[in-house]
Amino acid sequence: MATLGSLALTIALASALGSAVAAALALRWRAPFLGAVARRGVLATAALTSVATLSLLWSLLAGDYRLESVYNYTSLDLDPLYKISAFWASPQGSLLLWSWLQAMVLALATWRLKLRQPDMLRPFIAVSMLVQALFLTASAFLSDPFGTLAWIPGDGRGLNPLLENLSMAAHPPAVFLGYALFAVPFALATASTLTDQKQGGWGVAGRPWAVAAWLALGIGNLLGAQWAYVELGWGGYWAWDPVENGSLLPWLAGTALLHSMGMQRLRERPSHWVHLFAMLAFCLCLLGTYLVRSGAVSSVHSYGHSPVGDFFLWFLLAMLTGSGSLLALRWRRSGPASGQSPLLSKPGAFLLANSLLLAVAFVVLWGTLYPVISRTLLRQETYLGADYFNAVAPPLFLALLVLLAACPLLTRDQDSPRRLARKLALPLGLTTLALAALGFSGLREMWGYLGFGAALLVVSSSCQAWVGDAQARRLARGEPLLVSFVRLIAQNRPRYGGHIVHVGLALIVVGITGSAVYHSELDFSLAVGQSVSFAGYTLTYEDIVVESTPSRDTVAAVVVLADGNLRVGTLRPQKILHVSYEQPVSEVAIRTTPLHDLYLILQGWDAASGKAVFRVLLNGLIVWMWIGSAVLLLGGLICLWPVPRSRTAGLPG
Amino acid sequence: MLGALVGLAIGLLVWSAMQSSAVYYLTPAELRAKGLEQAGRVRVAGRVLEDTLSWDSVQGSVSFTLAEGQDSIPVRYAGPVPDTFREGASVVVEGKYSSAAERFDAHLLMTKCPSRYETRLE
Repeated sequence: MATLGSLALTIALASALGSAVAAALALRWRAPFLGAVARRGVLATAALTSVATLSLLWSLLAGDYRLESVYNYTSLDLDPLYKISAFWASPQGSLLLWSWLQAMVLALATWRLKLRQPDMLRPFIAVSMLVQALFLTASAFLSDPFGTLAWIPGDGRGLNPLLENLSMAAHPPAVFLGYALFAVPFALATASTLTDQKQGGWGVAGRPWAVAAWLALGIGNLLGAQWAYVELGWGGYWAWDPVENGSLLPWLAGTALLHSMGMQRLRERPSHWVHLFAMLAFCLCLLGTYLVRSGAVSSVHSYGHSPVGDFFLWFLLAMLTGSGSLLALRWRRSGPASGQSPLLSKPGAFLLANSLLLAVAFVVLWGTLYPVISRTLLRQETYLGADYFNAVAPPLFLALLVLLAACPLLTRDQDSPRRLARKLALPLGLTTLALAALGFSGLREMWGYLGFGAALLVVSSSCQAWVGDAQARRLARGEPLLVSFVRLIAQNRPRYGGHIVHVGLALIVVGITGSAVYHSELDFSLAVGQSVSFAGYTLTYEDIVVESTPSRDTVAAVVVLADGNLRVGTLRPQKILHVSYEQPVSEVAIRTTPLHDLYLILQGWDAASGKAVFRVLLNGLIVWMWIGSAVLLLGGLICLWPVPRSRTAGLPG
Repeated sequence: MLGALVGLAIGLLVWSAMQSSAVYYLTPAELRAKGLEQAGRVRVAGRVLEDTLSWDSVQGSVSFTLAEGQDSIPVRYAGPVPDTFREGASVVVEGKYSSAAERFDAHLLMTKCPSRYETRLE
């Protein structure tokens, strides 16, 4: 089975290369036969990569321990769901997952492009299959998922227990789907510089891909954060680790990309911004994987040094120079951008937003790569810790949020400051009232006011814009207001889906701000029967329960939570000692309310004295981060919901 | 013009943030040369010396000696541990040296091994 997979991978590589070459020649010589060959090659590549993927999947489920990627990450007693997730636990498997998702995405994109914009088909296939071929080269020769051991083990080493978690099982596929989807705008942008389009802009066809990529990567990052919060036992969800940043950077570029695309009118050629961000988003995905697989920067997530890491560096540099020079040529050919956009207008605001997003990306990139820069230029390797990122990122994100709040109320033409102020009066008024209330409740931290204020501004401004549009529609059609409100979604999905996404984002900001500002912790040790006071609660350590099974020992502390005299709940934080895994694993006990999370960790316990050591944390409002994520997902899906065919008849793309 | 001013402001922000959060990356020898306590929060790289690794389930922590050539420092760390962490592994720890406890208290532990499996047969 493994040899089948290996063979399929090599043939897929040949197929992708052949397809790219055929498409390039078809473009040059205008040969329809070669064009057909190129298109079939795309399908063949997708099919063959699928065969390789299924082969590895089968090997994992059946327990073919001769394969390194099966031996190191699964065992006979592992739950089948996690045997599947072990596919992307190994570096080779995760790269194959990315290659497969990308092959499938590119096949689908090719098919749709054939229907809607056939004049771009050949250059698109040439670029995208070249990219796919490079990925398959990495998988086939540098990071082989089908590498075998010299003997056949009877059982595997098992999966790291920290990874036996649903969010962690879903996180890599979501992230890699995002990366794979970013290949489409990249290929479209590069392809458009290689051909003269007759049929208007590719921006309209490319936009759903950009939105889907942004959504998948965003949800992927949030799943990773949620896993870190629940499983790692430090009460945090984002450490500004180089690999985490590597996933954030393409998402920032993607945000700029989809908004720039949104600004395009129907028949217009995409602007330079669109091309720039399409290129950046994809290249940053490559940078991210370079950081994970090269060991260039120390990270808790990195796989350590591997030749495939260096390969991705060259791949990245090649794409940057190739795509970058094509973009620069296009820039020179078409001249500077049409006039200056006035600041107080939608185009002006988008220009400012793009600049801010670039600024955030730059400061994050600087902090992430500083160890390499300092090692090379200053001869002393220096790291910039979370403090650096927490000092530079929030002000820029805050500026973006305020801009986001102002945007729905701006128009395409220049607005006067007085009129804008009048439109913003209600959101500003509401926000001021809310902040005053917070002040009375005793909030002292500046960032609390800034964070909550910005979030509320965004929510009220989006609601105001939506209600305003609903009222206009109600007057025109005589419907009840609520019906207008809902029907608007069907009328313009990206716009109102976008409002929902922004509200979701605001809720996430509420969660982030709340957990930063309303945060307290306590380390304590108790004997059985003793209590401690924390944040208005009383925690009583009642019992310790030890459970033994053949594969692990579980030590669970039973802690009763009381609010005054009222018994509110029972928490059972655990420490699990696996037979096959040396390090004890903590299972945190969390009690969630809309106002805060009570987070209890069993640090250790002494069988002799019966004393247990605990750490308890209070994280304010953090549940809103997960609620906001769900709202964001809903909004994103609404944006992507296809418009019925009848309405798009006669429109390009 | 406005752009240049904003760029300058961001540059200043980055600069001041860098000053207060820089963490040096040293070997045990360099750490000793700098002065164990004076170094403040640093990252230290080395190998986990054989026969020095021990797990403490009461405290939920691991202790070992980090060595590089002839120099070494004792380390204690409580927190999640990477799969590839074992005796002989190349690791990077971040934390501060505590002269009271006479060991390096690490709050971050990372390994540099490429994969969980080593090709030599045990």
